[in-house]
Amino acid sequence: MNILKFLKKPRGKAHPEPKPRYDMPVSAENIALVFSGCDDFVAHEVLLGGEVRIKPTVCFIDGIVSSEAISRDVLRPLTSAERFGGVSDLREAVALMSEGMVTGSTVKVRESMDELVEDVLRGFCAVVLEGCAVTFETKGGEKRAVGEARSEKAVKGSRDCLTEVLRTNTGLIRRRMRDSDLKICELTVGRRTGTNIAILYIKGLTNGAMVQGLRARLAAMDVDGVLSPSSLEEYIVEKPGSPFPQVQSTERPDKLCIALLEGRAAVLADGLPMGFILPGTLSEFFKVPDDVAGHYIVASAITLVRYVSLVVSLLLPAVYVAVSMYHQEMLPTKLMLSIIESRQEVPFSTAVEVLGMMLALELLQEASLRLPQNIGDTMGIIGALIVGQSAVEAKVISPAVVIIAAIAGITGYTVPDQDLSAAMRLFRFAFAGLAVALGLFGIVIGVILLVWHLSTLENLGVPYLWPLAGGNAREVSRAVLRWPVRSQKHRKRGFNVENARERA
Amino acid sequence: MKKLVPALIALALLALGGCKSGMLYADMREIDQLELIRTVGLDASGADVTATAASGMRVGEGSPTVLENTSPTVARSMRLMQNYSSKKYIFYGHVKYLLIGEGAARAGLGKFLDYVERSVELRLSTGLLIVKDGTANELIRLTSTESESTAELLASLEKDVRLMSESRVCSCGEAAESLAESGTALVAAVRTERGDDGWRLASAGYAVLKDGRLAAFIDTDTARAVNLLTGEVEGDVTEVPDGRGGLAALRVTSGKSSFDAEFCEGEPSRIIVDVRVKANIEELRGGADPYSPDELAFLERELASLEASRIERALGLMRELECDYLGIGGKLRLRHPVKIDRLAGRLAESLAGAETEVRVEANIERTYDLGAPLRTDGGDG
Repeated sequence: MNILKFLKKPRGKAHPEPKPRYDMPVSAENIALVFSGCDDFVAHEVLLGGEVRIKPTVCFIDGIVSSEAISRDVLRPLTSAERFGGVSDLREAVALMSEGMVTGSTVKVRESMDELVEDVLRGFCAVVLEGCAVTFETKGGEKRAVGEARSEKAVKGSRDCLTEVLRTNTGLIRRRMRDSDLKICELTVGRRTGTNIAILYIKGLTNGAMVQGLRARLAAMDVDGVLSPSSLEEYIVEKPGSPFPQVQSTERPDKLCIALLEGRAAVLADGLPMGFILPGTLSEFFKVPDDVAGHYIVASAITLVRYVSLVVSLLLPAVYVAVSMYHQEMLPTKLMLSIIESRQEVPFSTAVEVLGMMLALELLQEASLRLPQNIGDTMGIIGALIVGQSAVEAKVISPAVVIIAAIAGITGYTVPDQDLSAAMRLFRFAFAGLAVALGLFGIVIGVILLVWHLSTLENLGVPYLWPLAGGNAREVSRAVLRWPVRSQKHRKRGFNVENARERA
Repeated sequence: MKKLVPALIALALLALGGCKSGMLYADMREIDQLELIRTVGLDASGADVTATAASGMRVGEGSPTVLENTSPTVARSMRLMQNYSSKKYIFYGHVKYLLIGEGAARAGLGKFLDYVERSVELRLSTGLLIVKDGTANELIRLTSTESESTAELLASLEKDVRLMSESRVCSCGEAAESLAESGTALVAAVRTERGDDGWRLASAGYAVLKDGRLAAFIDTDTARAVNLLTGEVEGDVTEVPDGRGGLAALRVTSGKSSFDAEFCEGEPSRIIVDVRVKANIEELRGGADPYSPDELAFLERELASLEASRIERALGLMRELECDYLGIGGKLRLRHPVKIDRLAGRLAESLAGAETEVRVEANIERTYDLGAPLRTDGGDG
């Protein structure tokens, strides 16, 4: 496990955009020039202390600032003769502003245009003088309230979910973890979007090299923008070519906190209503926060069901194809007679039937997802009930294949992680194709290749298959079962934590 | 990508396996193109073998398909049946019963069992039966009708004979194993009977195989004793006199047998067969009182006597055939390993020359009287 390899310079050519981007001195004219053509950019001169000796320009972007905060915390103190009356020197004015005469909560003195423009774009109000500027945090504008998670429903857990606002999200985490060792390191990524990205970890618990590697990965990102989860994920995983998710994404802050306590790191990005947990191992994708909320025997049984479901979802259509096309002697006689009965007068071969049915289900699902909910539901009913039933009655497709495809589809959704479920859907087709060509021999080859591929995945120094491969019996049992909380005294070894002890 | 490309190339190379039609899709056959054979019958036809194959019932397709072919070998006979249809593949992977005609069985089962052992489709778990007084071909043709198939009738018979303890259908694998170990085997026998509504199957007890050939049949009555001695009792209704001129029907629920031997100059001089039978009273047709200790003891003596006479007949056949089809030698080896091992090669003859002493202890455990359910004097019931 070579964690330090993440510190290497990333592959590929540098971004063509030069740095610094705005190679010009700070001035009101220059900032107006930068934002020329931006009608939401507001700039106007004010009289410092109500006198005409110094005329700073106050500028901000309308819509992302709070007008009330600008009036109250910036404009009113700036024009107050009590605070700035008699000031004639620019240096003195800047010093007074940064020392509290202007009551903005965050004050930054900026001497480069890049910094100034970035602050303005972040919702700061800038007071621009000749050669330098002072920026005050006056963020505002519309934002979504903390609501209930939609894709990760909680039965017994907390209901709140992450939003698009980074600071709100860090607040949700902080509220749960009142620990100064919870470190939140922020970076700005994206030349055009300037997206704030935060790395969260617990100092003294999360492996330092892992955090360093993650930070290096993010710092090396030289992109125009980070607007979608995959544009971030693909930069922080080691093998983005694999369809398997190597980063756990969640919209539940409690799940994020559980991961932090396990010694893993998390990444939050402004504008993305989800957090990313690293490193992601295969066994972690089978767990949900509700497992810890419920009784451990029930949770263990459900976790096992998820594993079984995964195998069924992945292999059932392929095994059906293989057995009905090549290995008929493996079927119990009564089942075989039923299948023969159901296939009477069906014009297509088993291969076409199964692959076609799987494709039809995917189409139905895709159509349902992209439509408004009511229409999507109708589409499901039309597709599954009417078309499916009619196809069976018209002997276009055999009922056995409908059942097989439906079971494979349903079991696929018992895997809690949608990304893993999607990857499995892809491999389901691959396995069915191999079964058509080579029967069970093809399936075995497919399984070997799949396990081989999974065993080559690694992220932040943690093998993807750990502890299923490389872990001892106890660790494997912890991966597939949920032991009583009190018996889990140590954290998972695979995450290379700095403090393994979890509880007394 | 570095690993994916070699993997894809390796996968593509699988298609170039060198097989004449390529590896991909080579052995593919659609499930609905299979003609599922459920019963296979084999008969001797001079030096040739006549194979008869019958499918099971198929909804909407009328009577079962029956095919036959005569060739010098079993394999050829069965393979040639593929010619019957260009669309259907005759599939032997789900054969449930293998029937051997009496003539073929007397000539020897070795070649048939050899074929089953080597066949890639037929299973060793296929049930083996010998057709008494006829050929397998006749039996299959008579019992494959529009309403029933031979396999269904045989499956029904298999359950019935176990319920009545008249025999037990063993598999081809069991028979081959027994023949290889001791040169003898017990195989269920079946025969056809003309009933009111057509031909039906009836148990013919057991067929005794010796040195791979049919040596004798055991009738169903003696077969009950055989089951008792081999520990195969599942349930057997036996009628005995009740002492008042009527009959009592007793259900034998379990039987345990143990064997011992006395030796004289290294040879077994006496074989002692100790049998304990447990039974329930199923029916009383003469007014006997099951709660009377005397009458219960009478019933137990009658049952013991009946079982002893059956066992004597079974042991008599063993002496007559000089064939240890009951596996007594193996059981005696547990008690006298050195002495029995010294008889290796002539054990069956030695056992046949010994006297037999049969001790049967019958115990009637319970009955049910709804008229007086709580009455407990004089018995357990």
